Amino acid sequence: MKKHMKKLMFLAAISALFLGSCVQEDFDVPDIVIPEVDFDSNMSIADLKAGYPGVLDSIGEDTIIQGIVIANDESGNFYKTIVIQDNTAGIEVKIDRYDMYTEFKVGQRVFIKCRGLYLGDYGGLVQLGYIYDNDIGRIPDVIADDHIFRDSLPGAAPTPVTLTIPTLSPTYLSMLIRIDSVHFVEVGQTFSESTGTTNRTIEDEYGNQLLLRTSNYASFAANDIPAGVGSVVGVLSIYNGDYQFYIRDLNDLVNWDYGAATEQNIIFETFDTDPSWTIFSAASSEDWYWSSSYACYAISGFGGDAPSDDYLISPAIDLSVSGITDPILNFRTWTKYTDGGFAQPIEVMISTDYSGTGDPTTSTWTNLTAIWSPANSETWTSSGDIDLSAYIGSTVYIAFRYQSSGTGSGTTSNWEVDEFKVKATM
Amino acid sequence: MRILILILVLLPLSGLYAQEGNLHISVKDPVTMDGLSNIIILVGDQRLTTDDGGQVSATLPYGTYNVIINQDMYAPYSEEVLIDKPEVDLAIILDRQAGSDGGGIVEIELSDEDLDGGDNGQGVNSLLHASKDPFTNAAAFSWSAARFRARGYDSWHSSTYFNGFSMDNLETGYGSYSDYGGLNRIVRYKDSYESNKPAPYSFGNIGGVTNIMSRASQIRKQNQISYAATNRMYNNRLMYTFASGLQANGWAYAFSISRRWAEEGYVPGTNYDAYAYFASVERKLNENHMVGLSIFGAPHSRAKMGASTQEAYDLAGTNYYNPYWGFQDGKIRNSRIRKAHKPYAILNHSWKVNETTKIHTSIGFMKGRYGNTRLNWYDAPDPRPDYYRYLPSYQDDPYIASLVEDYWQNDVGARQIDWNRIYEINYLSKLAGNGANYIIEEDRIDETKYGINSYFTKDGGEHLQLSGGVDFLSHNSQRFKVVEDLLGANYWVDIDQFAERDFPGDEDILQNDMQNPDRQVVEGDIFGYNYNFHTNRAKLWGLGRFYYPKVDFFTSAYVSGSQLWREGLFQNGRYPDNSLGDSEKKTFLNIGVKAGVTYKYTGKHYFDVNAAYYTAPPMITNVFMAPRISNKFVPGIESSSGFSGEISYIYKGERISGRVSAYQTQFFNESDLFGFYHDEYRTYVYMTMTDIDRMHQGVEAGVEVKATKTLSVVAAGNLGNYRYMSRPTAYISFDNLSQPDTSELIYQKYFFVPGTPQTTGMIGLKYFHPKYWFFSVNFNYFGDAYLAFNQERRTQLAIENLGPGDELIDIITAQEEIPGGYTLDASIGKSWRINGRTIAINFMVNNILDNKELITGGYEQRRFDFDTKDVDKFPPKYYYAFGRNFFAMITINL
Repeated sequence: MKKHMKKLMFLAAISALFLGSCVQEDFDVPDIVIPEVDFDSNMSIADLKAGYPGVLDSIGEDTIIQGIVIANDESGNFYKTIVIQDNTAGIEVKIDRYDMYTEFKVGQRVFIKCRGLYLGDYGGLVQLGYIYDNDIGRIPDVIADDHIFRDSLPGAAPTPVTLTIPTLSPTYLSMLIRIDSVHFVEVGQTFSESTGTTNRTIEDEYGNQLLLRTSNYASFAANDIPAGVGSVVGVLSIYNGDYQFYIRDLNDLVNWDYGAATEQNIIFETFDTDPSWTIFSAASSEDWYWSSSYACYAISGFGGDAPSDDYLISPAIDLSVSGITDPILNFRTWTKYTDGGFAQPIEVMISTDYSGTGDPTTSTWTNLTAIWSPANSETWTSSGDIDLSAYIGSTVYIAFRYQSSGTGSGTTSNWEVDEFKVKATM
Repeated sequence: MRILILILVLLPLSGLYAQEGNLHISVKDPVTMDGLSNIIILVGDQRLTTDDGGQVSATLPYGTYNVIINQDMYAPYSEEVLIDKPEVDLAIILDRQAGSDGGGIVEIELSDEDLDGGDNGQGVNSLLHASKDPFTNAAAFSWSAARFRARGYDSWHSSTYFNGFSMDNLETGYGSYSDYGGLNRIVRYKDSYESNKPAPYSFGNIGGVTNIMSRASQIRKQNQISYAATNRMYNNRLMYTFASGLQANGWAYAFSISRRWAEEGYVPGTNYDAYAYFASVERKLNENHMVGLSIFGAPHSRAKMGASTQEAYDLAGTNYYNPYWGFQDGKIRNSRIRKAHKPYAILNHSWKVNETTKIHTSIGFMKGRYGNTRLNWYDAPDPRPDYYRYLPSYQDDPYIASLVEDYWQNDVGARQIDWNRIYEINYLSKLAGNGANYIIEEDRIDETKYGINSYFTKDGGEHLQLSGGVDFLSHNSQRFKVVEDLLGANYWVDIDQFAERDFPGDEDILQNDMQNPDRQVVEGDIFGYNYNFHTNRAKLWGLGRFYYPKVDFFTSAYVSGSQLWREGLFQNGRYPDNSLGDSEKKTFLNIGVKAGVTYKYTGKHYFDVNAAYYTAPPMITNVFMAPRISNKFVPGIESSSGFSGEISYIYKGERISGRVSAYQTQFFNESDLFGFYHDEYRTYVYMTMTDIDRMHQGVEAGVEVKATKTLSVVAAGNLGNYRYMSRPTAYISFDNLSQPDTSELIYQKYFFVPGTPQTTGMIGLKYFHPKYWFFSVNFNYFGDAYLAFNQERRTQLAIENLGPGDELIDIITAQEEIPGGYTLDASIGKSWRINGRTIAINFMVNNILDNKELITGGYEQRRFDFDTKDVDKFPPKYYYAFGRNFFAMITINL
């Protein structure tokens, strides 16, 4: 027994030796150090931007600005960029770093020591960055932390300034803006084409328009642009004099009433490619044709085998959508030469019983009143808004009828039709 | 096949009387030439002990036996002895060697190169083959620093058994040494057969076969503790071993425990914590039956080092720069930790059926885990400090490049993982109500393996010895990812972010587990991928050995059937119809034959010729297009085959002994899968190479000359030529499905097989002082090693639009040779006998000249700029051999 005890104690001693020192450590979650800046800013962003001389400018003074992050690269719509603003102005800060949103959250206060950085502009938008190829570039990753300092945890983002499209001004560039009661023109299209950054249109109830610019790398690039009316929040930008608006993500569509009626295009044909509308010739060998050089439909009775009587007929236009109001037809025309035999050689007419193909003369057509390009004026002229309210509830076709009194000079005229649009509120 | 039938027919003819011979062994010390008493000698499965005069005799049936001695204070001894006449004398003079058990050397082979990129980097367990042969010793000890692999073979070309049970990993073929690392005292007794030589317990393998004999009765009686200090992978090693030997009451016990640890190994940021345990009990039931049980395992956890580019090494000022770690709270934290524990239980039964027939049966079971951690990140900056965009070479503007260079050289934070930033970013994400930006995940392989190996040996008379058996293994693993550490975040969303990016708006394709879409996973949850691999293999084999006065020969054959399939546990959004449940079950029928002749010119001169041909099933890890997420097989998967032949001349003189062998081996139709993150397509990519043919030919030689009783000169060398001999087809599958599966032809014919020096040389001196001093020194040379290459650079696409003779073609396609190198090693030791106890001290220094420029391997990055065709844009990554390193050990026999 004693011998066994000795053995046991020996084994215990051996075991203690083996388990004595510990190598593997479990790592606790460390305490988060809340960033704190121990210096103060000495210039407003507005003053910094005001000092920009219009060409790339190295900042040699100990300028320190502060601001709150209002946009970052989280959704991908801003690339290697954060946008900050104080209560005077906003500015884009270009940094050569990916996924910066992980540290520069919207609402994060930052201080920027500007000495050694550069001011430049891109298409008129002033940016804070670095020098690259003698132009404004991004602040190199390795020195960014020597210039940009976070202060405290992210708070609430600044309240956006509410403006209307007509009241936008350069003061608000790179600031968080809100525009109420707007809708999108390109409903149902994606925010961005996959091939590159894409422009879409924001429009208010008065028809004022603003470019919405979205990167194809944005997480919502492939989403469809919604119908409806609401407010948009985003960052105002400018490129060569045109304002551009960047939303940060789809949460920037605020109070959006997806069911609200908005003016939408039922058809908008620019004839950039041949849409193959129905062409019917009641007389003459000269017919309506699609012109690739001028991207429109055109006709002239000159040189035909007989005086012309020719129809150009649109595809079916559905005005039976429920809730549709205020359908409007609009197009523009251009003409050259004068046909002495016809005061108005072209007419526009509408039918509710045309079959969609073939001879239109067997159907009922009603003439519409339009403004036409003055004879031999060679001027593109808008038809004016032609009210189609009488046809709500029907599917209609719209035809252009061209006639000539002869086949030669003085008895024929040239006509072109373009920008054919039927819009309605729905 | 015919031979196998012949053997099976012969088997029942057991009435034949076995011719027996008497083996007389004497064991002497090399200096005093005194007989050594109480030395344990294993002869076949017999265990002998020398008497006071150092003599012992045994009566054995005619045949070939491995005589193995593994005595403290002496070098391991292993010699094949032929009993072919009534009286055989064997005079053994042991080499003195204080306390060396190979500790600290083999661990170098357990390198980290298996996960990142092309270098498979599997260690080859050369140590298992260590014997008296000077060449084999050099391969095991002197050349392991340069990752030498004998004959250029891969680890699946050799087989290992533990107490008769197969330790082979049927799924990967990789060596299993780490499953029992740290049991140096236990694995000392090895029954090894090189290349095609016949073994009594297995058909063997083209690169040889080893059985570790560790049944309790086979382990020498001892009660020993040792401590070692080293500066290699670990700093400390403590080992305790107790063995009872076979006691008069028929019981035998053995027990061993060890620990190896380091706060930081040779490479910065690598901590190491490895335990090992072994327990065995054996009972002699009667003269004919013996049963035993062994249980062992080696739970270990160790931090890894990563290969980096020369640019990063130069900026960091050291070739041992390790990008995997950083400080957290003042402590080293490595992002890549390997944690493994594969406990085995092996049951043995030895049955002496009659005087001439014995049956040995081993039943084994293993259930264990193997895991590797790494950082993963979602919509966040790459946390790897040596990511190529963080290096100066990425910058076009020279001034900005100089800023980055300055930062890298002067701010250690640039070169390490910034744990604080990672935690901070996760914290900010949590504040915003979102999941983790960074996590540590663990890729796990949880294995279950069981099987039986049963074989007989039969003495068939004066000229014949027969053996054969069945070897069945079932290898199953569950492979999955698990969240190891959320790094302060609340959850991680289980989607494939690369599919999310490439298929915006598609809510299904990005799901890793369609039955739990957008699941928020927390620590311990399985996510990402989850599937089982199943492999079963049954093998029937036989061996006949024939003995005549001048000539011995053998012939052997096997037939095996294998079955393998995948069982998906997640329905993956990229393969909704082909990821869940069982795949097709593929079966393979394989055969192997081998034969050899030994011509005994005189008792000193031997000539040996042998050859083998075999076919082998593909490994399950190489047959699926995208194994993590789909049941889809690679097209045209079939068995591989091999043909191997060698011719040797062996001289066994009193003062000079040596061997020279010429070998040629051809492998046909092998396949290999690489899985890696593709920086260009920005997704995980699987590339499966099929129809790989290669040829390994060369000459190896080793000689030992006893200049005096106390001084020996050893020399060894290998001249190899290992080449790929085909243009394999690579099948490529994209994990996020952004590109369709493709295949391409790889122009790698006549490329060198990478990963091992093909030319090696060693010359050394061994000195034994009469007062039990021991000293040795050797000089090693390594050359003709090649870098693992990126197959995509050897395609038509890579050199498209280049005209004939364009020098870029050669730059793109040429294979990089690793510069040759040398090391100088020395070892000194002394042992004492005090009151019947022995104390030994051993001190080894490797790479005394502190050569820190010796590249041991590496790989070209799996990224190539097909537009600019600039090979320097994504330069290769290298591993370097350790500089001067030591291993000091004290051993006390209590």
